[in-house]
Amino acid sequence: MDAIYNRWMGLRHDEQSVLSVLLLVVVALSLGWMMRTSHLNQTRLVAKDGLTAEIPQDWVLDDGDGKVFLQAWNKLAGNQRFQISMIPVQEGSTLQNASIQRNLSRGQALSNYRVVDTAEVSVAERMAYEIAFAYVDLGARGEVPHVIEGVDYYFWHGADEVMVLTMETEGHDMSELQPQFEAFMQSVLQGGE
Amino acid sequence: MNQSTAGRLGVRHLQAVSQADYLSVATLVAFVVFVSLYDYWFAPNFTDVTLVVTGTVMSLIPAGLWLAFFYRRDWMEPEPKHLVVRTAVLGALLASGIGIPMVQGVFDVPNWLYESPVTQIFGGVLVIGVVQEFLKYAAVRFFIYGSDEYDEPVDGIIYATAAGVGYATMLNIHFIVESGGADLGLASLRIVITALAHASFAGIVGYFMGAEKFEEKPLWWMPLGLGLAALCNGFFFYFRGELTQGSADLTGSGGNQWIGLILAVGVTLAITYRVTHAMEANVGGQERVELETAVAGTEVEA
Repeated sequence: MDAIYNRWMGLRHDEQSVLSVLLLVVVALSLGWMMRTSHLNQTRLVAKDGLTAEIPQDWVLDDGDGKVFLQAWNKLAGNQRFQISMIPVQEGSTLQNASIQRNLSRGQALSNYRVVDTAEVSVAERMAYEIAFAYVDLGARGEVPHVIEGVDYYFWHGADEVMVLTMETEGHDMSELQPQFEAFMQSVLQGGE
Repeated sequence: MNQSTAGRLGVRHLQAVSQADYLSVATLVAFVVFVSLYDYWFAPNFTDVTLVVTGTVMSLIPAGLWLAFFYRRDWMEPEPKHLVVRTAVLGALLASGIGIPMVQGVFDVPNWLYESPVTQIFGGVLVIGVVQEFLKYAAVRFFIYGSDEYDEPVDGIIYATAAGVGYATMLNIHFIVESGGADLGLASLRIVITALAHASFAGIVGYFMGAEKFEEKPLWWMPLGLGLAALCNGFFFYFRGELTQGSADLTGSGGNQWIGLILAVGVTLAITYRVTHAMEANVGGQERVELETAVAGTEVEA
């Protein structure tokens, strides 16, 4: 402590002034960062037909277009969305088969739909099949199309149903949204049914 | 040149600079009115590309006007043109390289700031205001402050305003490019409001920097100046947002966006007036001290 004090006293007045400005900036930005973090981490619990999930506080919840069981999207960035889908499967089917069926139907419905990567993973100690995908959202007439990237996680939900948890967003937002999506997944997998 | 003459020149130099500010404000308002009327009467057709190009060129107009007026008025002790332009360019580069990526990328402001008035005010001051005003401060403090040309308090205002005008120009270009162009009338309003506001807040920072270099000031002086500028920045953009909320989109009518312009002009005039008077009082005070010292010296000799 003394060393810091002596060092400080050894500085010229203008150097001390610059450091005091930098200190103000660091303190202000730290407070700003805390505000950002606390706001972005706020969630609310939603439930549908016995399934619960935590979604970001200010996101909008809807029932999707009928193919989706539950959907939440960011009202400030409409392309950011989390979805829960339920896919009925025949006995003896695999998660991979379920993903192939879903990808085929998406390939017909979405523009330039591509499967970018696949992997078998473990999420919250449950086996899952991961599909990274991308497609082009053409938007309204006159709008510039957007490239949407996403990831699906396929989980068994009983013996004859597969639950798919999906994150979609514009490409450059993927890493930013990942922590919130992981919290969403954990809440669905660990929540009560 | 004796010290009293220098003091008088300092006051006149300051008045010349503030007159340049007032003229810039008047001309920028005239510019907005002209563009809006032109847009209203002639409704020009643009392609996406020409809209972006036109908007970008319009973004440069406030900086060009301010620099032009400044050179017309700053004839008594002119600052080197290349240094003023360099500071403005530096402000623009800092905005593009650090300010905008930090506010929109690192702090992800669009995703949380506008959720409530509380986050908007506190986030606006602590993140946007502090980042923007610090970068204007940095442009002057680390690149011009030690120069021999920075030789009177009013230079702090001149160079900080140049940095502020450069910063605003880059914000406006970024807005135009990001939104793929904007309605001419609305674009001119936004460009002028942003330019006036940033030049004014930079003027506050510059006043504190000018006083700090040439007078004995306590350690909290410069943090106070930066904090005050950040506070004005945060509150201004909050109130502008509140006053003009829902009034326009990128292709719609201007609506009460004009209230935003009135607010910006009011804030600019108030800050310019306040800063000019504060600095005049300082320079005048110094002059009195010099006079009293001279009189005391004469009495001793007698």
